[in-house]
Amino acid sequence: MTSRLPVSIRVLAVLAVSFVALPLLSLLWRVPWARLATLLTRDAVMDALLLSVTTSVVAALISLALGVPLALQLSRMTGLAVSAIRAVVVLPMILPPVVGGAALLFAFGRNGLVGSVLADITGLVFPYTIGGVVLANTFVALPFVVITVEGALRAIDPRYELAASTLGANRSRLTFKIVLPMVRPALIAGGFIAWARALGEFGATITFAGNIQGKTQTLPLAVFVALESDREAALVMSVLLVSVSLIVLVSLRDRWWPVR
Amino acid sequence: MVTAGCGGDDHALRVFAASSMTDFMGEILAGDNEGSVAHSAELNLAGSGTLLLQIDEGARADLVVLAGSDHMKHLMKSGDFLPPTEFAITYLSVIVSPTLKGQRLSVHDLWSEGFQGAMCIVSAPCGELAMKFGNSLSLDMKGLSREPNVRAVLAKVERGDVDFGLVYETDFLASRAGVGEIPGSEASNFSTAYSFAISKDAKAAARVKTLVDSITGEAGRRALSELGFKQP
Repeated sequence: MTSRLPVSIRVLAVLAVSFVALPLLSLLWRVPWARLATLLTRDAVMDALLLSVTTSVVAALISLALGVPLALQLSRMTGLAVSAIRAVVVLPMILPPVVGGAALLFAFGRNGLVGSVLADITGLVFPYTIGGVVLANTFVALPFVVITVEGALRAIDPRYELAASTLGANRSRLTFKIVLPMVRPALIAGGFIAWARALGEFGATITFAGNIQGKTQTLPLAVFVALESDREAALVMSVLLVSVSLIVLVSLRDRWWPVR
Repeated sequence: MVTAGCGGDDHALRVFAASSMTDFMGEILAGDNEGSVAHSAELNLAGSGTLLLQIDEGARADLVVLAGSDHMKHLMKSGDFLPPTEFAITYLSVIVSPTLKGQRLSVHDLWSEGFQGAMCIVSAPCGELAMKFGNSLSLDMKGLSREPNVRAVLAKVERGDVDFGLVYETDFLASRAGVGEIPGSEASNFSTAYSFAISKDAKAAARVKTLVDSITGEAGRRALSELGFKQP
């Protein structure tokens, strides 16, 4: 039994919850529930929904494919190097998304550092294509995989690995049969959080990939456009996004944050 | 710029202006030598549609400068503003990135050769105008990227991230990054008028007067014509 907190702390805690919950409730309050179905089946909404689902899933898979190896590597490193790499990789989490978009443009844009070379060699152009949306989504989603999985990897008792290797397991067997199965919950959590983050991405996408219906206009971008021209549709799409995020967070519960 | 908090009578003068008025409003505020208004003015720049959304949702403005008559009509519905005054006109322009400049492309080349274009979102007057232009020439506008405001379109054409863009003539003239204009396109037949409206709040009206006088006065007219705007 934990002792009760002072009243002042409890009041502030209630304030904190209300502060976050009230705007979300206000959103629900304004939704035209009766016209929900009609609004959801609009062309622009369906286009955006389809695009959002596809690009966010692909981005989450790429984030896993790249983020897990990086997490494995980081979990074995110590000292300044690991802090430096982690800081760089995690940066997109707290970077203003529009800055991320600008950075992507300067890197992968047509005249960007990598983009110009890439376009010359392969003819691949990212901005204003569906590939650009995936790139922007992956940029913001990858950090979530890395920190979730790395945290779990560091918590593994090293004696398991030691035991397996003395029993003759080689390096790849060790990684795929021993280490990764032990962090399975973190892999799932990291993947879902990355997916939810990718689904909600706005700033980097509109800056880097543009806003073309059916091609690069994802749900958040469609919300932004509709907010000024078709507010009811904007509300419906917002609720859709909020619900998806909420479902992800609730179903992950203790996998994302530690619970006693 | 020191600004007081909200409430109180001495709040800073709140000026909401369409983003295509960025340079003009900057000059008007900078040209206010007595400094009384400029030093206490808060300038909120965004697309006209965004400004309206903010006002609809309760943002308070003492002076609102909007592009497009539809947006101004919408603002009038709130009943919080005095009748508007039109003070400038600008035209649509099709611009191309520095790399395409000088290639003698026509508007139809831009569409038929698969170039990537950008325009404003249709809730912004520049987007609405671009849409009318596209429809009149039966151009497929669906493939164009919809940017939040006209300055975003301009910036993307300047950097060459898109090949062409539909902006205002005045934004093209304001560009220093070597973009080109497609001459002889029908775009110049499409125009947007700018108007301002003053809040009915009497105190605000008195304080906003200096600013309005410089917009409609000699200094304002000179600044407008230097920036390429026409008089109504």
